[in-house]
Amino acid sequence: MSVALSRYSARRSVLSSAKSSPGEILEAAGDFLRRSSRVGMEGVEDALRGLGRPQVEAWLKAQKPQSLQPVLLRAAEEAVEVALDGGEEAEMWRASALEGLAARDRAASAARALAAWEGLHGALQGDAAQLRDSFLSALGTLDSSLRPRARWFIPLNPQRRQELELLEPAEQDTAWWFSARAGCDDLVATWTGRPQSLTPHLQGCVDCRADMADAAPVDAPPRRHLTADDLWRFDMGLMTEDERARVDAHTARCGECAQAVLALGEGEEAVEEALDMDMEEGAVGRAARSSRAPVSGRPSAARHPEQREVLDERRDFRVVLVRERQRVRLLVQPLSGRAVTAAVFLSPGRPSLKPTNGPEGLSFDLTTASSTGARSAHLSVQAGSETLERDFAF
Amino acid sequence: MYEQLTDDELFAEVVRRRAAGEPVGAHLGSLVDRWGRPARYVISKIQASYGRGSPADADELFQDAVGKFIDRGLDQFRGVSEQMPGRSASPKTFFLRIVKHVAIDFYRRHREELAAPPSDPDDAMEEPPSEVARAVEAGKRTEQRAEAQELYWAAFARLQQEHPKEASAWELYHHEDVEDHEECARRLNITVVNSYKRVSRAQAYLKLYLLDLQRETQGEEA
Ligand SMILES: [Zn+2]
Ligand SMILES: [Zn+2]
Repeated sequence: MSVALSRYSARRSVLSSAKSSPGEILEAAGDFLRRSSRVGMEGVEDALRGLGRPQVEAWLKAQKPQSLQPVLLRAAEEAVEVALDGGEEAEMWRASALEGLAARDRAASAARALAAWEGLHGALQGDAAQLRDSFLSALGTLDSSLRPRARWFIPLNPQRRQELELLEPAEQDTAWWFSARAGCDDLVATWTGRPQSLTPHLQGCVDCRADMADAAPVDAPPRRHLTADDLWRFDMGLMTEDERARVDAHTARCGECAQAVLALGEGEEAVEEALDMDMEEGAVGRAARSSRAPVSGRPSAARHPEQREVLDERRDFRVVLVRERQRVRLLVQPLSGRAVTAAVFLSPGRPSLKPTNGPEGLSFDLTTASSTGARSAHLSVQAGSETLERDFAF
Repeated sequence: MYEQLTDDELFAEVVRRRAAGEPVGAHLGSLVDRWGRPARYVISKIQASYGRGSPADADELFQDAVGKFIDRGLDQFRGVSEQMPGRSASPKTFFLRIVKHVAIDFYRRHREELAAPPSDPDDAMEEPPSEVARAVEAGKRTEQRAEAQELYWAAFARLQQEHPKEASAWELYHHEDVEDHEECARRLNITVVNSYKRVSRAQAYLKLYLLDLQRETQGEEA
C-alpha cells in the first residue's frame, strides 16, 4: 500500500468524528468520492447526510479560494528548489511544496462533496447558490492561470504520480496539480543546461519540445551592447578598470560595438585635425583674438611631434610604432609595391584589430587597447613568401 | 556678433546667463556658429567610418549636438574638466566630442534599423516570395524577434526582483561578457563554486519565468 493510499484510508475517521468541522467533513468525503475505486466509499453518504443546510451555507460563506493562488505560487518555487538545491534542504522543500498541492486538492474534494451533498439534500438556493457558483468559478480562474505553469511542479513528479494513480480516471485531468506534466521528469535537466542528447521523452513530448524551443533564448542570452553613455564614459576616461575590461571583452565579440569604438578613435583624430585646421585659419583671420588666448586648450601638434620607432624592416615592408600624445598606432608600410597583409592580435584566440588603409600603409590603432591596460600584442605580416611573426610592446 | 570675445569668454557668458536664467540663444548661436565647419568635418569622418550618411544627416546631427551641448553638455563639461584636466580643455573640443558621439550614436542606430533579419535556412527551399511578401515577412520576423527580446528582458527583470544574487551573477557572466567563473567570483566577492551555482540557478529560473511570460502572452492572444 502506497504512503498516499494509507494516508487517505486514515482520513476515514474524520467522517465519523464528532470533532470534525463541516469543511473537514466535506473535504474528507470528497477525497473518498474522487478516489472511490481505490479507497472505497464507506461512511461517506452518512457523513454528508449528517451535514445540515445552515452548516454548509456557513462553510460556503467562509471560503476564499483565491487565497490558494499565493499558496500554489510558493509551492511552485519550493518545487523548483527541490531540483536546484540538491542539498539536505531538498526534502524540506519537497514536503512543503506537496502541502501546497494538497491544499488545492482539498478544495477540489470539497467542491465534489458539495455536489454530492446537493444530490442528497436538494440544490442550494438563492444567496447560497450564488456563493457556490462564485466558489467554483474562482477555482476555475485559479486553475486557468496556474495550470500553464505546471512545469514548476515537475520535480515533485514521483509523489504526483502516486496521487494520480489513486484518483478516479474522470478526476485525473481536472486535477492538473497532480496530472499536468506528470511524465515530464526529463525536462528538469534542460533547465540548467543543454543535455548532450535528448531522451525519448524529450523528443516525443509536445509540451517539452515547446518548452525547450521557447526557453532557448536563455541558452544564448543576449549581451548588453555598449550604450551611448558607455561610449561617452569610455571615451572621456571615466570608466573603472572593470568597466574598461568589459568594453574590451565585449568588443572582442561584438562587431557592432567594436565598430563604434573604432569610430571613436577615428572621430578623435578628426577632432584633432579639425582643431588644427582652425588653428591655421585662426592665425590669419582671428590673429587679434588668438594672441589673447588660444582658440582651444589643445597644445599644437608642432609642440608635441609624433614619435616613430621602427620595430622591423624587411625587403617588402617596414613596421613602425607611432606615438602622438595619448594615441598609439602600429604602421605596416609596404616598401616594394608587393601586396602586404598584416594582423595584430591582442591575445590568442581573439580576432585581429581592424586596420585602416592610409597613404602610409596599414595602420592599427592601439589607443583603445592601451587605455584598457594592454601593453603588448602579436604581429603577423605576410608579403609574398616572406612572413613575420613577432610580439611587440607598445 | 560678439566678435571681440574669445570662445572661452563667450562660453563663460553662456554659462553665466544660463545660471542666472537669462536667455542664452544669441550667445550660444554665435558660439556654435564658429564651430560649424570643424563639426561638419568630424561628422564627415564618422560618416566615412560607417560608410554612409548625407549632408542632410550632417545638418540634423549638428543641431542634435547643439541640443545636447545645452541640455547636458554645459554641466558635464565642467565635470569632465575637473575629473580629467587637459582631456577636455576647451569648450570647443568638448563640443566637437559631443558632435562625434551624436554622430556615432546616430549611425549605430541607423545600422540596426537597416540590419537584415537572420536568414532562415528553411526559406532557401521555397519559391522566392514577391518583394512585398518578403518585406511583410521580414517585418513580422523583426517584430517577433523584438517581442522575444522584450520577454527575455522581462524575465530577467523578474529574476532581479525575486533572486537578485542569481541575477547579478547572470548579468555579469552573460550580459557583460565575463563568461569566466573565477572572474565572476572575484567581482562578486564569492567563491567560484557559488558563481557556478548562481549562474545555473539563474538559468533555470529565467527559463521558467520566460515560459510563464510566453504562455501568458499567448493566452492573451488566443
Ligand atoms: Zn514532457
Ligand atoms: Zn555590442
